[in-house]
This record gives sequence, C-alpha cells and structure tokens, in this order.
Amino acid sequence: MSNYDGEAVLEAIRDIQATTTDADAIERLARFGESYGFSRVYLGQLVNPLKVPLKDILYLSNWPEELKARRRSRLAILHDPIALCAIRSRRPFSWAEAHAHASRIGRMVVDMVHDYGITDGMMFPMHALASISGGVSLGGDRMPDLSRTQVAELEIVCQTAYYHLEELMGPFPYQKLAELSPREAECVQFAAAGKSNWEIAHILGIREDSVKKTLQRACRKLDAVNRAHLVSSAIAHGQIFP
Amino acid sequence: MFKIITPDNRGEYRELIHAMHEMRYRIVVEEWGWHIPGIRDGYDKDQFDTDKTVYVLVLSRDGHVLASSRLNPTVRPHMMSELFADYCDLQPYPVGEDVWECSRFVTDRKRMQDPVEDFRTRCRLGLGLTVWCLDHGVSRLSWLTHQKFYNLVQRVWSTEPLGLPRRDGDDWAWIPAVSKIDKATLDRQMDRYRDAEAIVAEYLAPKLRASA
Repeated sequence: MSNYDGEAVLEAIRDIQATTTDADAIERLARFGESYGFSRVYLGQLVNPLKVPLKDILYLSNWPEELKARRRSRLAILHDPIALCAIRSRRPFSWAEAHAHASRIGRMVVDMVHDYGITDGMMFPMHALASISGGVSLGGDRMPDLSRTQVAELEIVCQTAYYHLEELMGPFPYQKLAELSPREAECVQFAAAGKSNWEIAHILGIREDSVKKTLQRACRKLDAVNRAHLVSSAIAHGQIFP
Repeated sequence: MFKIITPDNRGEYRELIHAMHEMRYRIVVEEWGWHIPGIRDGYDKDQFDTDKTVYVLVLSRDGHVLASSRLNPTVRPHMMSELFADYCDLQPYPVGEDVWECSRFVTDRKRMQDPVEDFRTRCRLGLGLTVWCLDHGVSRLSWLTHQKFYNLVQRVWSTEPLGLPRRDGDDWAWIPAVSKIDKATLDRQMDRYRDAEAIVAEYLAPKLRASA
C-alpha cells in the first residue's frame, strides 16, 4: 500500500470531528458514503428498548421522515436482523449476510425499509470495551462492489462519526456507570455465582438480614422482580461481571 | 493512586517492575492469547522494555499491580517504527522529542471488585499517562489501539487514526492512532471522572511541596 493516498479519509475525519451539530456531522458522513455508492446513512445506539425510553436512545439518519418514525418502534428495534447481527459481529458486514438469519418479524422489518427503496447496504458495528455501543449503517438501492481497503476506509470514518456524535449529544441516561453501590454490586455478584443470602453474609462478614435488604435495594434500583431478573439486569447494565 | 517509574527512580521499584511483567504475561499471553516472540515463560518483557522506558502503574491498597502501561520515546526504535510501520497508511507515524509511544495498556480485571473499580483503574492509568506527558513536554502519544479501545482513546484524548483498521479474517481490528496531549486533555479527563481531582492532587502534591 506504499502509493496509497488516504487524504480524503483524513479530510472527512477532521471535518466530522470539527462539526458541532448532529445535522452537520450526519451530512458530512453521508457525503463521504456517497462517494462509495451509498445514498443513505443510519446511525444508532444498540440498547434494549424495553429498558430505555425510545426518546433517550441516539438515532440519526437521512432516511425519509416516515420511515424514521416507523423504524423507531420497539418491535422494529428488537427484531431488526442487522442490529442483532451487529451485536455478535466483530467486523463490518453486508445487510444480505444479516438478512439470511432473519426471523419472520425480522424479515418484515427488512421489507419495511425496502419499501422506501433502501434495499442493500453495509453495517459497521461499534464496539466498546465491555459491550456493543451501536452501529452505523450505510445503504442505498444496491450494494457497491467494495475492496477491503474501501471497507476499512468507511469503517474508520463511521467510527469517528459515531463516537463524535455520542460525545456531542450525550451523556445518555443509560450510560450511567454505577447504579448499584459497591456493596450492592458485591452482593449481586455473589448471587450471580449461585450463593444464598446466608453464604453471602458469611463471605462478606455481614448479617444475613443486611444481605437481604441490600439485594432488595438493588432490585428496586434495577426494577427487577426476582433474584434471577436482578442478576440478568445487573449484567445487562454492566453493573457486575457476566 | 498511580506510580510513575522512570529510568531515574527505577532502582527503587525493582519488585514492582517484576510484578508488572508477570501481570502483563497473565493478561496479554494467557488471557488475550497473544504470541510474543522472544519472551520467557510467565514474564512479558520484550525488546521495547528498555532502559529509557517509562512505566505508569496503578496499585491496589495492598500494593498489587492492578494496571500498567509503558511509554517509549519515538526518537529511538519503538513498536510503530519496528513492527507496525506498514499499518500507518493514512499518515506517517510521528517521530520527535515531544512524541512518545504508549503500549501494553493492561488492567488485571480479576483483581477488580466490580466494574466501577475496573473503570476507575483505567481512569487512573489514563490520568497517569496524561500527567506524565504534561510534566515532560510530551504533546502527542502514538499507539496501536484495539478496535474496542479506540472509542475510549477518541473520547478522552483528541485522536486521529494513523492508518486504516487492520484485522485477520473476522477478528477484531487494530487501529494505529495519534493523540494530542494538552491541558484540555487533562481537563476532559478530570471532568469525566468524578474522583479524578483527588488522583491528580495525589500525584502533584509532593511536587508542589518540593517547589514551595
């Protein structure tokens, strides 16, 4: 790659980092995508919409307004095959790869987007240290024939845009680090390891009643209805180690 | 707290450095599965652990190494110049007295009580890096970052990629990057982390006393 010229990529990255509004950032990202044959941009956080109000989740796109509204439903978010695939994928992938594994409802979500002429594209998953943050999808009426280098160029520009926008528009409510106190997290961590309240009390050198109250407090904070729900919620919220 | 071990005070911290190399091996080789040629079993010390290397360590209250990172001057052979020069296809890797390379940013997560402590430990490590750079006139840090770490680098420091993401097959990508270190970087880190002021004060306090 000795004669490779990455000037356009660097220029796009610097332009995006200099933007101060979401509209400007999306417009610049869209312009970069267009030069590769993509006409549409969709950028969104991947969080469980059953846990977080939709209004608190970052979604930005240059999609038609009607489609934006339709896509922004709990059902569409939960069953979107591209989003589900992004959670597991370490690399960018074409929408077609994700569609192959779509559920029946997932295919309906795909068809909904197809109806607006956005039929093919590529997803760039955004991973953070402990979990996935979100993804950037570039789409259009066809999938351009891209080299590995071009995919990498798009990936680094999407990455820059995504985290620039999260920083610009955040902090988002669910990004809070610690909802549980250290003691609550400790008790839930032991509960996750299958320990009873009596065992946790002995390990931590506190009274069994204190463990019970601490776990009840944790349940209230995470809106959990029982011990299993508490453990799964704590893991999902990054409050304890899986 | 964090400890900064430089060529000048290295003699005082031989045991800590030893523990750091052992910790790095546990994480980097045993946990992450890296193959590092030329190192001995149980001890991650390679050709970039030199007599000029500066280490930033985060220690637990009882003195265990929780996290570590190393800094090397770019005016001498460093990882980017020796191993990853071809990764830098967007712009040449920077070299100069005011540019150092950061590598082996490692935290021992098994020692953490909870994810918050894990987060705070990384904060301390990042603050240690920034503070040392500011104190020594280092204006840029270069590093090869893991795809999952790049966002943190981008948020905390003003960062630009030096090259495109590189990956083997479907695996995670690596991104060479350069970050600007200035007062704003420190302010940003301090704003981000509620307890950052106390950490920096802890490091700066003896210096203030010394200069008073």
